[in-house]
Amino acid sequence: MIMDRAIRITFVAGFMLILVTITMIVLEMGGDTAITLMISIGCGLLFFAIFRWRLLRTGEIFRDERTQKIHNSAMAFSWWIAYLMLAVVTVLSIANVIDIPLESFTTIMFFIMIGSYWLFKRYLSARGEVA
Amino acid sequence: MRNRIKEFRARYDMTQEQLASKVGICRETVVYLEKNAYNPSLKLAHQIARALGTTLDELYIFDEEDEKIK
Repeated sequence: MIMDRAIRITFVAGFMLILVTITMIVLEMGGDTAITLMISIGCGLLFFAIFRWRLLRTGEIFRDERTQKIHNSAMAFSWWIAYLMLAVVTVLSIANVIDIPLESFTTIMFFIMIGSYWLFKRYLSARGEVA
Repeated sequence: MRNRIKEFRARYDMTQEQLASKVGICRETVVYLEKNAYNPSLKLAHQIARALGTTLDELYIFDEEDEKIK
């Protein structure tokens, strides 16, 4: 069965990220945290694409107007959380209250964005209406 | 807005799964529609009415509250 466009893009993105990470390892570029993070995101994207593709093959419908609305709202909420987090950390960093390295901050943001998206999605799914 | 999807579905002895696949939506969406927890778009409302062999007027009940312009 042919993959749909979104799944194909996710698959290619995951594959490319893993390829870039392997190249970085071979060329001895980047720190351990960056490589771990990149390989984790790459594997995550690949796993997600394969999971959705398998669902599509079974003929199960997993996206309609309600789930699309939930996805869009959860993405928007997650983006706002990330933006607020970025703003707070920037202000605290300028005021010398915290001293956080970029790699640690990127890792934290990675989990915050995925976590907040998942939480909002669960909350909106349970509510039913997404107005 | 309330609806009579459950009533019409029972009339045709149709399961939620069958209605969902006929319209092309998730089964959970049918569950939320029947619980009146989700208001469908006009397009989806029309598709469901057609799948159940009825009209929008028959299937959906607009309360006076819905008609008030907020």
